[in-house]
Amino acid sequence: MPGPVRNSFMRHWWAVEAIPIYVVVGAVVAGGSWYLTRLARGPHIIWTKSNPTPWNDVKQDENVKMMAVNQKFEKSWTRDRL
Amino acid sequence: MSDADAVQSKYVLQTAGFDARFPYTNQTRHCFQNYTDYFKCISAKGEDFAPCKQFKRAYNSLCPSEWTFLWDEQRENGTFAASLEP
Repeated sequence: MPGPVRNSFMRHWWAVEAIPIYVVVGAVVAGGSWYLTRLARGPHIIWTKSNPTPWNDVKQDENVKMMAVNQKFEKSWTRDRL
Repeated sequence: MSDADAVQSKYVLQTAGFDARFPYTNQTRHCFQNYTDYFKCISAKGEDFAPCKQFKRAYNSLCPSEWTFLWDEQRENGTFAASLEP
């Protein structure tokens, strides 16, 4: 690549005015992937035949929801095995 | 009135309690789990084991009777979907 073409490229790809776009798109991607992994690790998802009933691992004092409104739970359930 | 009270005190009205495995409105799996657990309990402990009745009460409360009758037929035919081995 000739020198001037590379220099003008390096000057134009990073636009300071586009920072809000990067921030918002980055937040959306991060938030979406966080939520998808949260869903994938839910107790109603069956991944392998060796764990056919993952919901049976939820103890009676464990919370499965993102936010519990009217009930008190001791702790949140986490998925230990696939 | 006293007759009604007498009848009311003889019957205890209750339903299946809250189960943290099934906290959402959709209780389908709760119903199915109790149904299979009852018959697994029966095959493991015998018909007269009293704690198995807990599952029977739960699935009778939770499951629509169409499902219960259908699954009873499937069990007799051997076409029931889940394994009922303990």
